[in-house]
Amino acid sequence: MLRGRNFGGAAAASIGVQVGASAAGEVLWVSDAEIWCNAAAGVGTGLPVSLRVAGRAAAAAPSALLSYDPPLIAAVEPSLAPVAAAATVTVLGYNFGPAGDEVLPRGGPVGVS
Amino acid sequence: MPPPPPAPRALPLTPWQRAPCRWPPVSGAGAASARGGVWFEPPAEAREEGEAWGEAEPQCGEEPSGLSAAGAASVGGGMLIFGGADALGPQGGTARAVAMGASEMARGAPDVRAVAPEVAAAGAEVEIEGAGLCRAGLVLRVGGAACERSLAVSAERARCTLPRGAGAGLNVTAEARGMPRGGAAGAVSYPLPQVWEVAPSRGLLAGGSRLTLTGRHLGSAAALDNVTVGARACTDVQWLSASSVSCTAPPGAGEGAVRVAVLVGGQASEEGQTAPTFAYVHPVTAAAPVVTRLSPTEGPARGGTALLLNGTGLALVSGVLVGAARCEPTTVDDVAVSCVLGPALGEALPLTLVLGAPGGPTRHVPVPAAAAPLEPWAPPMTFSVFPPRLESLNSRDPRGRFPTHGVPVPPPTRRVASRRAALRRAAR
Repeated sequence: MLRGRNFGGAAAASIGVQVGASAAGEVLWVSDAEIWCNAAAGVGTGLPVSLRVAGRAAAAAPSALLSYDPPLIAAVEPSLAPVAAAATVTVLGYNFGPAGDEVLPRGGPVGVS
Repeated sequence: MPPPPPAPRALPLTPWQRAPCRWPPVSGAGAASARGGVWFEPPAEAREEGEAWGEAEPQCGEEPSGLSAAGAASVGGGMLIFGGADALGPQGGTARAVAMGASEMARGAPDVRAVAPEVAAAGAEVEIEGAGLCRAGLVLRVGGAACERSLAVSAERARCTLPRGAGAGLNVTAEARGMPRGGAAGAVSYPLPQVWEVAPSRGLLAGGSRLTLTGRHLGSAAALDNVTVGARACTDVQWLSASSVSCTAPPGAGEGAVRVAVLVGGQASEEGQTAPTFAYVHPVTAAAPVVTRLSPTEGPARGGTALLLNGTGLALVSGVLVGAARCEPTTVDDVAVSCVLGPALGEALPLTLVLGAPGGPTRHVPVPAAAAPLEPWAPPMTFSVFPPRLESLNSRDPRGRFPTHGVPVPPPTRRVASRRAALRRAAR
């Protein structure tokens, strides 16, 4: 939910919301001070949210930054690995972001030396 | 030792004659007036309480000089009593006089015999000639309406301050407390009503312009019979004052100027070169209005901003557009239009004036965005909505974080869900 001012007194205006580089899909105008939109899957912290109402960019308050949940490691398999040779370990956890993202893909290979 | 006051004579006195007057307790006075032949007996309770002199009514006759210390004297064979003095001495320095002959006391109802001048405006004094006018509670009436002030000068003369009213040949009558109404032989007329200005001076052929007529002798709300624009009656007539009347113009019979007239108390307004006119114009062919100033020039997106447009020829305006948003007019006259702006978005939105009544022919007149040439420093004639501002993001997470797999819209709140359903229905 986006809170602010001068979002328009009627629903007819075109509204665009972008989080970081990805555009929010569905956007719902609620009132002159409230807009709902979906947050696309993603990772990161302190991402700028840009809002355009009828072609005009909204000035954003410093507090209007978006942060995703931080990654959480639940387990690493195998728990033992040879010291002398490279090995593939699997890191299990949460909030690793969507597949293909530049951050670590879930369950992807991690080189440990 | 002052001489004792003479004993009251038995006379058929009315209650008024008893009530406010009594023999003055001023030493050395009173004896001189004994020849007048009429005495006033003080009320017993007043005597006991040592009450001050009451109002000595009526106050007829010229106030004599040199009598300030006296309580009673005889003037011209009549009885003179003046108050303003009591047992403690003169009060306020006013010596109010009552001059009344014995014959006058015995007379019957007051009569009116002549009135001058015959034509006078509300608030003016007219002189009444008659008989028996020096009476307590004298009320002069003009056409049934009491004078604003009725003042007897003597038994034969009185003055009436004309009340608000209208009409010609109105009878003047006199009444006194406890007396039947006397004869009436005088009449007075109010001046002919005059109208010298109509604002706005032009309006749409379809009618509906709210007109304000300025003039004088427009009578009273009750006396205002009608207002005509051309041959048709103006509607919703409202009497504002003796110099101002407003009404709503009827539909015109055709383009062009027609005379505006009033009928007050059966008297039509004066005709002549000064008679004002109201011009009916067609919205498509009329000269375009000019806007010279707009204020304010910015406001919030939700609407509700009250805009004021100044200029000339604005009386034809029936609507204002700011960009595509409607600004609903609240007051319209020739030099100013006030309107309340609806929801709007955008910068430097141009103004458009809508001329013509809804349902009839209309014309859209764009207002040039550039400032008036004579006022280059003035702001341009466009309206800008405040830019949107994003103040905060709300997630359902108490730390303000969002899940990495995204959040669908809308969150399951009933208010938002029902709003979305309504929007979807509207879209279909």
